[in-house]
Amino acid sequence: MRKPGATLVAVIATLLYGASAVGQECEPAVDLMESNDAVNRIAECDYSDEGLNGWLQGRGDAKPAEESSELKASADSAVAVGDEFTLSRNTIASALDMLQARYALVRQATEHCEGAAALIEESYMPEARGATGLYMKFYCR
Amino acid sequence: MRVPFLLAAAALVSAQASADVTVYGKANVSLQHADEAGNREIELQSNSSRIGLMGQESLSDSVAILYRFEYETSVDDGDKDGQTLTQRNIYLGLQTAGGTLMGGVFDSPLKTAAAGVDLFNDLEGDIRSIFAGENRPKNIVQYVTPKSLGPVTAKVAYITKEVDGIDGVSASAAYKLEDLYLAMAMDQDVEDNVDNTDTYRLVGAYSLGAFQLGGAYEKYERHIGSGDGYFASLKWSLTDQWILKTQYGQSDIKVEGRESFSLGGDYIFSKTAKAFAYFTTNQDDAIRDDDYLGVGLEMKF
Repeated sequence: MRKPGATLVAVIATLLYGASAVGQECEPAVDLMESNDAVNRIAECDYSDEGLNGWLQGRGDAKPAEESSELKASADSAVAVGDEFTLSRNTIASALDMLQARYALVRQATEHCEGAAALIEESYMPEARGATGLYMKFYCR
Repeated sequence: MRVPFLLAAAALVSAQASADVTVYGKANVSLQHADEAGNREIELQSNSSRIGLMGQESLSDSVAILYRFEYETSVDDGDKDGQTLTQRNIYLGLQTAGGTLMGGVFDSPLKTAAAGVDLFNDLEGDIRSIFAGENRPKNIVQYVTPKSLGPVTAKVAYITKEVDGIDGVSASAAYKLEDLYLAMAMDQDVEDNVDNTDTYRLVGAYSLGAFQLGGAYEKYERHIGSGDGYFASLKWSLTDQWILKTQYGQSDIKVEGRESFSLGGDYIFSKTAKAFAYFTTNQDDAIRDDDYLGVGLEMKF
């Protein structure tokens, strides 16, 4: 017959194991801080891009997106059909910045080509403080 | 005062983005018709609207410092006890693999044990109308067991005698696993700042599909007598947007024969915004015969 103490240990071990497999979704920070186990969960959730934090981060980091100089030298000269070129914008800190940066690069590309500008590749690079760099590769057709 | 605070918060977040400072809070405002023993009026209520800063920073691989500075602000009239902002939970703590030691002014273990079960928290149907122990003591030092204990969180707090000359102790043990939450807690000489008061509380909650059941039992003892009470709550998530909830409690702790019944509904706009409506009646054998009907809006950030 199994001893009661061993049964208790087995139950506790099962419960602890079960809990370790359970992940908790992050609720809004104000709710997390009201929870009974708040101090053990502060490090679990990243609110840096949420709510007021996202807005404050954006204002703190917001700089005008930097234009690449890669094209500036050749922008005034006519480009032959088939030529490939890359345009980029750095330090994009928000969704709105991303939209504006993409629009600016597309416009810049169409001005650069004599004919139509076609997108070959679009890529993103992480930057400091959560900002993003946007890279767009075009060719003229 | 509010503007400098926000500017300070902005500066702090901007300057120390890597230090995991989080600005958080909520605005919760309701317009309610209050009928308090026949005295009827329309009221705009700020239901514990607040703003705070919290964060955690590693001092080494095994030691972290954590902090929280939370203030209440009255969205309805801008005045909270003569102040624009009043202190809520404020603490500074040290966290290691062995647990967290923290000091400041913050909700007692007995109070936080019922977090999430009171569905009308901060409204007229808040369990503070029937239960003792909803305290935020000053000069409190608390130990919290580490996360490595899994579903178990235990707290022990000591309240110094600085304020009233009486030492107090509050403790709790909670078990949380998936949809089940159980807790027991006690206070000694914390309530009413008098000697020989003991409060005991049992709390439970369980989620079953779209339903969440909750409840608590409390016994309060003091040298001139004792009382007990209970409450039960039910939340029903009809859809992702609509939630119905109700709560009933009865207690002899504060006044003989006090009852509180609430019925309400939430409309969820997003994870952070909701509209809500509620009806609450608080009655007892001696003082209160109050009804409240309200609608409100909440924004968390």
